Amino acid sequence: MKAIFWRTIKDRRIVLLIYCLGIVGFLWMYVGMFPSFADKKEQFNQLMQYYPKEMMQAFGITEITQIFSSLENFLAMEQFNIVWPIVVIAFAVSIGGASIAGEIEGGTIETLLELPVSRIKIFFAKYLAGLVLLAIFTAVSVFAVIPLAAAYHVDYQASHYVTTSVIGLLFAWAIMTLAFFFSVVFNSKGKAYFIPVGILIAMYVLKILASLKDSLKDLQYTSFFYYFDANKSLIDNKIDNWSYLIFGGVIVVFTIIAVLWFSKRDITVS
Amino acid sequence: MNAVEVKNLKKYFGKVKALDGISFEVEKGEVFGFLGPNGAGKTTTIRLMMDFLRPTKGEIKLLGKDAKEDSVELKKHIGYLSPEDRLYKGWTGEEHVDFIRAIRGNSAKAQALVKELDLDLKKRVWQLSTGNKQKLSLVLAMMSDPDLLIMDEPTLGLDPILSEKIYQTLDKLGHEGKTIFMSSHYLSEVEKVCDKVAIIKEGKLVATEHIAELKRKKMYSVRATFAGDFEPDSFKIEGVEIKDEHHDFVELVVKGDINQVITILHQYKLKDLEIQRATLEDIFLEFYK
Repeated sequence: MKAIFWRTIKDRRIVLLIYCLGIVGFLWMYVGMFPSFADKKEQFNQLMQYYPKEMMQAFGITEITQIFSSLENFLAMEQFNIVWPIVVIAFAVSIGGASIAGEIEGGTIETLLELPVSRIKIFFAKYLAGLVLLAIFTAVSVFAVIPLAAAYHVDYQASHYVTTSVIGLLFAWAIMTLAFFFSVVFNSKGKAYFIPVGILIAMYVLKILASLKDSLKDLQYTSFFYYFDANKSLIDNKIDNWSYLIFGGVIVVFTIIAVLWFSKRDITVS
Repeated sequence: MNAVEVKNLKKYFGKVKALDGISFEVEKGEVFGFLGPNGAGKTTTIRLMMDFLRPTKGEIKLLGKDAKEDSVELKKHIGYLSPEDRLYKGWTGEEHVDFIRAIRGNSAKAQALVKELDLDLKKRVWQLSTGNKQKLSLVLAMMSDPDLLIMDEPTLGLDPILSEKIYQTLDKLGHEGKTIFMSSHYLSEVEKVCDKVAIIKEGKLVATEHIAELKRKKMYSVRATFAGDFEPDSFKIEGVEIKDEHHDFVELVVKGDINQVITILHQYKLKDLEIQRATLEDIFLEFYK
């Protein structure tokens, strides 16, 4: 199991590096820009008043005047409500989707299955490797703020980033688990990528619809993007208990179904 | 103890009956050929033996253990070779060997095999030719010195020189007392390597025979053009069927020993002679209708 775990990490290390560099690049840009925005926050706040309220809500911005009041407010809007979820979804889906379906599609699953290792161990070796990769990505993409903020002499709240990394990892982990589940069910990587991405796009649309119309408000509870609340974690340093419950529930339930499915299914390589 | 025992094995994919109740046994130390045309059920049988697929019904015992229940324990003693390479394109041969070694904990034969097959382990898989990929797969299958080697079409797509090298390697393993189960759709390959053969057709086992017995089922197509007259009745002997005849031409189907026909042909002056060994498919059609 250890050999499969380390091999998965090794095979993915370049991809991890590219994702980390990309997200840190964005972060660097935003942290570097923040002092200029903060200096002219009155003008920017005035400008922001002209944006439609619904559009701002769609991006998770409720307190428009507070956007430039702290680095955390600014990053919650610019990085962690928009860029970070998109990048982490791509990374988590690529890890989960390729895990089993990628091996089946490439035929290499036979190389693993012919070895004296149970399917459950193969699954968990790949699953844990994926989780470690996500944890590294989350840590780098969130805690890189601290040295960057120090370099630009911007005040920051370290504990808020710890809280954000926790909810961020849970969000990413739940998505990876979903992708793992579809990777176990299907023989092609394409399906294992696109179905979870499709589900997440649908969830995002539901959250936007819920924010636009009061009668649709309850739809927000069906969306991962409601439970991944960067404003709450980064600005208020809090995580809603429902977020733990929903992400934890998805992780546990889909992991169990996926591992059972993988243990029992026929594996045919064409 | 039999190395392989398959009893009433069935595998259905929906309504498609890939295997419909096959049973056979392979003795320990035997080189067993599993012969059949494409789509007959050879690969399905092997995948069931390797626990990649689960049977609809029936039982598979390998080295005295259940292929599904004791799969992990069994695989410590089994080497497997797929018909196409199942290698990681970005890894080197060395990385493959190290990976298998880390899991199997045994690479007793790796170095000797690499030397014997003249393989460069430093190259990445995408840089290797088909033949070298097959050599690497063979090294991985045999490096931990398995008691049972399961091979699905081991020479598929290989040139004759490499195929011959693989036959020599298998022959050597056979002499070491290893059990080898190999599928093939080449009769000549099975004849060369195996002690015993099972013939599968449309998911059903039509025969299990020793190679010596199968050799008696050899079949040839003979087309002779004569320089003068000939007596067609001279070819009316056991095992010979006259398919076509003209005043100076005869086409024969010969089952078994060709020498008796050669002896008769020798009595005549010939303009042309063409002897073709029947394809496996022809033999199947003739013997296992």
